[in-house]
Amino acid sequence: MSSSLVAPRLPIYLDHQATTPIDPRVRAAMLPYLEDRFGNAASTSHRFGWIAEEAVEKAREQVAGLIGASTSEIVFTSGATEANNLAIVGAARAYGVPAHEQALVEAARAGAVDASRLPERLREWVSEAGVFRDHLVTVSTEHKAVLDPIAALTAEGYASTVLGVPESGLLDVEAFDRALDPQRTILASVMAANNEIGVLQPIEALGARARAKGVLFHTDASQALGKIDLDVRTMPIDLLSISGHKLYGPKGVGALYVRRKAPRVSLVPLVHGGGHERGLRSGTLDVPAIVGLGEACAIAGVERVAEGARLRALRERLLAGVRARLSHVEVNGDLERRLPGNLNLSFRYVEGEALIHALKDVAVSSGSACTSALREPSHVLRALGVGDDRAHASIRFGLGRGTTEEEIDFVVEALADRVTKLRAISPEWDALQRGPVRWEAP
Amino acid sequence: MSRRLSEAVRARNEALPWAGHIDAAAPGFAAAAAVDEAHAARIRLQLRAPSSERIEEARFLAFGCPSVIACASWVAERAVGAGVAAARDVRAEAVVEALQVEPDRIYAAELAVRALGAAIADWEGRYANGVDAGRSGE
Repeated sequence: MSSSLVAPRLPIYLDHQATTPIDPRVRAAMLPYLEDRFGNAASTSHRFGWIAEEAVEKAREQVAGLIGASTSEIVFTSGATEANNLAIVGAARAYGVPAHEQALVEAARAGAVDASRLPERLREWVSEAGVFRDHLVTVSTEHKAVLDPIAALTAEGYASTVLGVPESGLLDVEAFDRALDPQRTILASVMAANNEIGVLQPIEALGARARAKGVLFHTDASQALGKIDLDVRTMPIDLLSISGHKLYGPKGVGALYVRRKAPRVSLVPLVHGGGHERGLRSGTLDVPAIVGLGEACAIAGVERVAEGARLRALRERLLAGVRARLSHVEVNGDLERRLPGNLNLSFRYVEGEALIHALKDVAVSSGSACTSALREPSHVLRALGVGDDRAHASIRFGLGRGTTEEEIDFVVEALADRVTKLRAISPEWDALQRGPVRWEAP
Repeated sequence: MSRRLSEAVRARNEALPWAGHIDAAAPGFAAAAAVDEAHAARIRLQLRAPSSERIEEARFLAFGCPSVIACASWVAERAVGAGVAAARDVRAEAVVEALQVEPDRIYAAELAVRALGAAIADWEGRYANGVDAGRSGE
């Protein structure tokens, strides 16, 4: 690697899995809708509303176009968290029967309860002898925006299976298949790309297994959209969550793809009050943000392949530079099946937060969080089984559209310097060099 | 997770004053380490006190968040020039106040004080009959 002669502008932002800056082209597209094109897209009686509605529908086409969907399959939301909740909770409520309702139906079947007094959606179950659908499947490395709604449903009486992963972070397709019960499982949710370790799950193979067993397949594509190819025409994906701010669009906007054909997916809405978005998500549409999301999708569709290759080269430059200067550095998660702009490294014998602080001109994030009670490794790294020491020493590098070679070279030099300094004061590193430390009894 | 740190914590993390080693063969050498497993934090403290009247030198090693490093540094600095008995009286509250340690990082001050106390206990064990009669070395 040649050393850079150009000093980068500081600070350097390498946290693109947390959020991305708004692309100037996205901002330009949004501005008119923050100014004179301020109409409500639901106002059908005047041109202000028509202009806003046209803009929303154009954005819907842009979002749909990026994933090969039809416009009627796109539901705008406040972000991927809401999209995940709508997909998971909405499907569970539409297709499933939790334990306490199963008891009611069983009582009606036995004649102990008057079936006509049951809620309408339970009455059809009284005459059916089949097994209730009440089961959800997901993975331990999912974002909390998937794990938490499933945990909430479990508390309501649904059943769930949270699958583990090996150290690579890649879900085993056969283990996934075994977890799917064709009679009971409502939905399986597996993220396309992990937000911490960037690992790309084999969603095409997973979706095929779900489809074969009549189980809905949802993927949180917040991190993957615009970085890898996602086409719902060829991939067996029934529900797909989208985030605006991970894609150089604005915060506070996202979308959910809901398949309309083969199979047609039904969801029970979570937000009521106006029937917007085909009744699936009521509330006045945030037209400027939706316009921004649409423009971000259009740009990503054009630039994805070239930008992916550029980011992969930068990531390889970063890893090669770090490995050339530092020992005891480990990659967390599979290196090959990974987002091109993600690298998650553990710098052994250095604590992640201390390193982040020492890298004062570089914005990155660590794999552990501290509370007054304890220091908690991220649930993703813990799920990989890499051990707490390695998790506490981890740093996530998220490269993005603005990242340059000069920045990467600066970061490599800064890492080499700061890691060396922190190791020099690390008792573990000292013990490695000089012999074991006699620790006080805790 | 990183955070906005107090100026005092930030400054000690940048300069790392009092980090390092003391020659273990020096008369009056003592050392101890303390660990907080829940917070994955460790501090090792070395000191050199030719007599109980005055700690001439103190050095630390630390693994942990920036507050752990800063507290270890402050405690080492506070020990230097103090008598052994006075150093034993350093309290976590004083560390917290001096460095403006955040409430959720008070464990760092407590760990640093524990490391200092353990080092002093080691010194007292080694030199109960006077420094000349005691044993230095790791």
